[in-house]
Amino acid sequence: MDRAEIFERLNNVFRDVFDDDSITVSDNTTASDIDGWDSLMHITLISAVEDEFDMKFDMKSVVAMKNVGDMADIIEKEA
Amino acid sequence: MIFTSVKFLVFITAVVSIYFIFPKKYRWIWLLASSYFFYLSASVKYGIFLVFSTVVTYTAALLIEKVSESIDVSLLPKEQKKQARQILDKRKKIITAIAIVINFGVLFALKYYNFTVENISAIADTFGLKFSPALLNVLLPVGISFYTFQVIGYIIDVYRGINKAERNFFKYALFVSYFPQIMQGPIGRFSELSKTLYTGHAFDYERFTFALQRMLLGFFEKLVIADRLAIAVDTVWPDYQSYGKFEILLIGVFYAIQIYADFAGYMDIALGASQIMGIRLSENFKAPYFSASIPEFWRRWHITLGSWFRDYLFYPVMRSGWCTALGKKLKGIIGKKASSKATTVIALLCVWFFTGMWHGANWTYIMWGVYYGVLIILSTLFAPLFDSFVQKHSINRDNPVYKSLQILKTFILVCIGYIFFRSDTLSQAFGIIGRILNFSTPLTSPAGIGIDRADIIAAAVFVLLLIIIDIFRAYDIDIREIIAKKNIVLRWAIYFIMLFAVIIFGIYGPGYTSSSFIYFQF
Repeated sequence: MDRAEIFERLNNVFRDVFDDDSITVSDNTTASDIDGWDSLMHITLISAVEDEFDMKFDMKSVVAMKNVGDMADIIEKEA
Repeated sequence: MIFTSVKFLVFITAVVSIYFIFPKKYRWIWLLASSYFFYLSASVKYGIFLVFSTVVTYTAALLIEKVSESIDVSLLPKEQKKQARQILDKRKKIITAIAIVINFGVLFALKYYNFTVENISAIADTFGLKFSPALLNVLLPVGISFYTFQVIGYIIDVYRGINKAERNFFKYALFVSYFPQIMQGPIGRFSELSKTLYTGHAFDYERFTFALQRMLLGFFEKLVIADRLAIAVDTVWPDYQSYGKFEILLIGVFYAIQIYADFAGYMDIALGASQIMGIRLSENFKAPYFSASIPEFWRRWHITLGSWFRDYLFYPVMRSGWCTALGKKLKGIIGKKASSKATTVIALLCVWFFTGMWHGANWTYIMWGVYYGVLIILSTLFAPLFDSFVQKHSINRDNPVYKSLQILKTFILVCIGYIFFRSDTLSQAFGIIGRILNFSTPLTSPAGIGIDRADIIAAAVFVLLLIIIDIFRAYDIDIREIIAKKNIVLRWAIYFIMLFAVIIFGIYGPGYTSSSFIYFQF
């Protein structure tokens, strides 16, 4: 799976989870860029991404990922 | 040794002076010696618990790493990799769990054992049963709630692979005992603190002045604002039945300001003292009373405790096998969205119950924690409804009036929470709420509130100053950088005014004995 495809699918997940069709994520997107991305939504988002890519994040990734780029790196490696 | 005592001023002067004389490579050793001196000066007995906690978590972290390195997974064929990882993970989990149980066990025994036993015997009593085991008669070692959380965070981070185990025992002992943070936090993370804790930093004049200014601000917040308002709060709170609605509400607001000035003041002294030596501690506050919602308040108030509960309790509970299984089960009954909300509610209640309990073995704290849990759950559940309301009535969320009202709403909710937090018993808390709501309570009362008109006016002026400082903090503007750009006369005028304000307007009382900080008791 190439990165462009990952981001395309991530966009769909984000739009669905945050209920906002205008969201487009990039490597540098962080929680402060997206309205409502707090610790509660973080868990919902993580589960939705896991379902989409059929993979699992470990706790280190859940806690330590700094931006969507980090998330995409893990997906690239795991999925 | 309390930060606002003369003893501490002598201590910090000595520590800092010798720190910069020591060879850079060994400066951390001086800090370790100073930290243990600082901690043991409270009581030598307490040191036993601190050393015990340090030894247990130091050893556990090394064992976790040893297990990780016992099998080189990358050399195994693909089909065996998964199995090997599972075996290793299980072993690491067992060590982590043992370390957590031991540390929480000590904390539980010292802080919650009596409370638990008393409650069980009260319940037994209502069923006519006799249950009266012996109670423990020990004083709670200072800072134990803070450093226990810090070491457990460390162990879990090593288990998760976020940081490596520290091999040097004495370096690790410094991480646990570092004097600016051991009594009241901030609860540090090894991955962050270790970046600056062990390096010998050169003296930096600008950093030095910034650090002193921050300490001075801390003294101002504590001695001038918190201790002044404390007199009124301590007068009215226990005797609330003699006061009218106005005084009670006023004291509620006073307490909100007092506890903030007290705790944030402590942090300014702690972070400032550490900054002199170039060691960066985590920020614990960010203008919390400017929050527009309760979840936002908790991202700005006691930040290191909130993030501790998020990373080490909330996330693990939400991601745990049983929570996922429960979610799946509920999905078939109530649908996907509702089931995810249901599991979130359970995890939140769990987090907030323990957040309350962390503050002390008293139902008032548990009630205060659960109160926040319920507020956050309600705000999560009703968020979609509220969003559609805002959209329908085309309310502009960035409108300053709307924002101010949100901030006011949040502040009022926080003040209601403090009624439980500050009261000695639940019946006192409900008594206060009843007195505010009761129609027959007079509006005002002739009884004095412990401070006179001049003190109230002085407090108002100082609080206004604090609000201005917090506006800068809310926008991430460092006032010190602005002051540093001013000319030398104005700059020193500001320093002297602050210094004299602390000396003249600080609450010292006859035969001054420094009053303890509120969070010391936790």
